[in-house]
Amino acid sequence: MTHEAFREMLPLYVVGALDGDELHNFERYIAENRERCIAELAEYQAVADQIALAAPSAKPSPNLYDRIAAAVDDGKRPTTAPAGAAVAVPAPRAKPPGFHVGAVIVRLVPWAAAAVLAVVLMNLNTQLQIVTRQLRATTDAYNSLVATNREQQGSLADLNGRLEAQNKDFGGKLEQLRTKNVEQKHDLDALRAANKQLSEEKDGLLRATGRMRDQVEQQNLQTAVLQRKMDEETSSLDLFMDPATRVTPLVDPKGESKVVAKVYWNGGRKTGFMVVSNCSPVQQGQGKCLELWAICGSEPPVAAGMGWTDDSGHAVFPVKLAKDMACIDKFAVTVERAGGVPAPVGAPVLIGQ
Amino acid sequence: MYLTESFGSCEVWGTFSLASLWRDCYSPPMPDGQDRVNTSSTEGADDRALLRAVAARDKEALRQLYTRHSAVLFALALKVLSDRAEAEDVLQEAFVQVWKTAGSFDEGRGKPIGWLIMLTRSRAIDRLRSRKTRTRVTESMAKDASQVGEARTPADEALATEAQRTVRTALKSLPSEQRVAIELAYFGGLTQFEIAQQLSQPLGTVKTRIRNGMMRLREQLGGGGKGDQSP
Repeated sequence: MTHEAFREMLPLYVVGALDGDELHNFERYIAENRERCIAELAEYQAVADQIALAAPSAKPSPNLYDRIAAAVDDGKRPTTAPAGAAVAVPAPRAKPPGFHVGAVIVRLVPWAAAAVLAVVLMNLNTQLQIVTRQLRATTDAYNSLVATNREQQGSLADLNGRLEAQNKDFGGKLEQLRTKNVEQKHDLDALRAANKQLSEEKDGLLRATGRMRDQVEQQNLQTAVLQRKMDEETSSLDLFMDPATRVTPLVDPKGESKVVAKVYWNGGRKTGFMVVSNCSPVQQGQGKCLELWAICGSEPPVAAGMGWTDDSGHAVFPVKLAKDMACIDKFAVTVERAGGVPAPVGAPVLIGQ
Repeated sequence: MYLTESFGSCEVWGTFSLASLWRDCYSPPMPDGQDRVNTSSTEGADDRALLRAVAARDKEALRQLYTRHSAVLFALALKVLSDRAEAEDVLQEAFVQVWKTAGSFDEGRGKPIGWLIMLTRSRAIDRLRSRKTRTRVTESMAKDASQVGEARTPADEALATEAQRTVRTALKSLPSEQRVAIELAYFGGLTQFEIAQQLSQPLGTVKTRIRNGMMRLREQLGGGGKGDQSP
């Protein structure tokens, strides 16, 4: 057996698990290598001894030591004959002279009575010991129960105390939680109300934003119209300011109506406009229009623009020649079907030179 | 009459505590190597001095030795046998043996408490092995092994000393299969082969479990070499 094997078997040995040849070999190895093994053996044996402390706590009966003390006392008086001692057997007595059976019987009667009495007393003593033992066991059990009851009552009182303290503590904490819960509920309601108000305000702002956007778009459209008008006005103003612009007044050739008109024409820019007043209304959408004609000598008239009056007989429309002309001697206006015609059909209502 | 006497003794028992027993029992020796108290008056003497006094037929020393260690030894015997009457018989036999053979105690081989534990445990296991119902007892122990090392009741916990709590904690920290194998050997008196049969495990597995468990216990509890704070 090697010392390594000794070390492997040592933990099993100290808890009493080794048996058979292994136990025999192990103990022989220890005997042969005492000095080398003793320290390791003592260390593991001490660990094993501590396992005894894991047993649940228990107390022996209070009177157990009395029994031990009694047993120790009995041990001082050997109850069996010492080993090797000769058994004392009384030697048979020699019959005395004049020995008679009847006399012997008479002499043995007191001894027999004493023997019977001794037997009776021994029986009584045995029964007394049995009763005493039973009483002792009952007392031990009773004392054990009392001790257990006392311990359990102590534990119960302790548990009750801890339970009451915990209950009180829990009650306080529960009340705090309830109060906090109510506060939080109030806060939550306030937050919900504020949220609702904010939501309504947000909807209002969204609606207002939509309206403002519509207004802005409308204003943009108006601005564009105004810008276009302003551009036209600016263009007209430029035309008026240009010294090359010629003004041609137009009148009713028959002299029957009060209609008056002027054609502003700039030959360099090849553009101009016409202004009509006091004309019988020729409004858009009624199938007719006023059409301006430019005339150069005996050449056929050239279309120079068309337009409509408002309901008061006032009209302004641009002058734009359909084709280039060598000269312009006259302007004339006829009433034609809507969209204009390539050559004048109606009679001139206005004419100027 | 008997009942009254028993009550009186019980009152006396109530003044003891296991903690004080262990503290008194395992207090370190005096610096000069002498016994704490001379042997003519055995009050407070350490275990070695008490054993020497017992060997000199000092019954007061025997009483003090009993007072110091009976609770632990009885708990051990009761754990093995699960029978109070038998456990008390074992304790009685052990102390009578102490009375008879105290002079043969070899102080160089260990501490007196180790010797007392050995005497008590070996007698308890001898009784256990003589029972016809031993198998049933060890089977029950195997089933209950998960509770070993734990205080079963608040009262038990209250009575437990620091040393007991340390050992129980150390045992509880072991893997259950290691703890069961160790408990079956130590408290059940089973050999490794019997444990293997009981647990239906290979013999090598049982050896490994016991070996590893004891190594972990040694790491946690030490070998009792730190003063006299353990058996």
